[in-house]
Amino acid sequence: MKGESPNYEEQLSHVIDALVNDILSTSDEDVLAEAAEEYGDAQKAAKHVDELISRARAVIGRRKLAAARSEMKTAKQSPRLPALRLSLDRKKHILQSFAQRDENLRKSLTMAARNEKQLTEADYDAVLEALYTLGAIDEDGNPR
Amino acid sequence: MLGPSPVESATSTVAGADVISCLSTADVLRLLKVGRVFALGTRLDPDDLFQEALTRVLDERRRCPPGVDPVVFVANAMRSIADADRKAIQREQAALAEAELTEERPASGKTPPPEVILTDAERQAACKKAVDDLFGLFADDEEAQTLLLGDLYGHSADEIRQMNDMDETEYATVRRRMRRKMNRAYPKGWTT
Repeated sequence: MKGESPNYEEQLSHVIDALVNDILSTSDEDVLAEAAEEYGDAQKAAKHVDELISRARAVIGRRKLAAARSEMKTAKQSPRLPALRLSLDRKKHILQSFAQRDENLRKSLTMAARNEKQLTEADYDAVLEALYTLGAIDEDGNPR
Repeated sequence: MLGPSPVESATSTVAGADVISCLSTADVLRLLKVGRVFALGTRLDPDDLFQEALTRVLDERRRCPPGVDPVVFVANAMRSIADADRKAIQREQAALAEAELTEERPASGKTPPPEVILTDAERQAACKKAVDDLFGLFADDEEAQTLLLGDLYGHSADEIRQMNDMDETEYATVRRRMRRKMNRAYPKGWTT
């Protein structure tokens, strides 16, 4: 429309598109030659590329590690299974009642006692979780 | 054009690590050059822009559909990140202007508040300056200015060649000259 100001934002957007498309369609040969000019030589350019990619991978690695640590911390603070919050005596009682019916479990518990291997609370928790997974107990530790 | 945003499908997209492993040294160097252009009007260093795009791809926050060129995919990611930074700057500027003009704010009506008009006008002025600066860079290169004029109005490479009776070699030569001049003038990214 006559007298209407040009849309400079639109014009700039077109220029950006054109410049970027030109870069993306530049041959490998030209890209590498231009990079060699900018960085001093092709090897320095390649080294810069490797550093950037390594740095990005390192950032992701650190994030994943932090996420895994956070997940572990959350799992420790809020056990999945309510039965794991029972007292140690109660946990022992549940396992022993199953041991009376399950020979393999009884043998394992007996062997541990003979070898004076103190079963830790974590050991009891592991068995409770296994019993829950097998459907032998409910989430509160009651036999099904 | 860079093409429409890829439609993302959870079941058929390409893993981020695979996208990155597809990029050759030349591809990454291309993307760094692209970063210099997209950096205009942002607070981002071109290397940081590329790196942020890369981490989003590796983090699977952006997933590449099969069949899409990984270079184009990463370039589109960089464009999105740059656009988001520019919008954030505009919001911050609008908030600052709002804070300064609070006492003089007109009664609500259909006219946008003065601070928004101010920001729109500032944006247009900044875009005009960027384009004027670019033309200034190629002040002694008539052929480059011709191509830039074609770019300004959204003409394709083919259209620009036809309008100016250039063959592909001549066109490529001028583009190469323009890239080299921009690389030297804006090694840390296009700024105004």
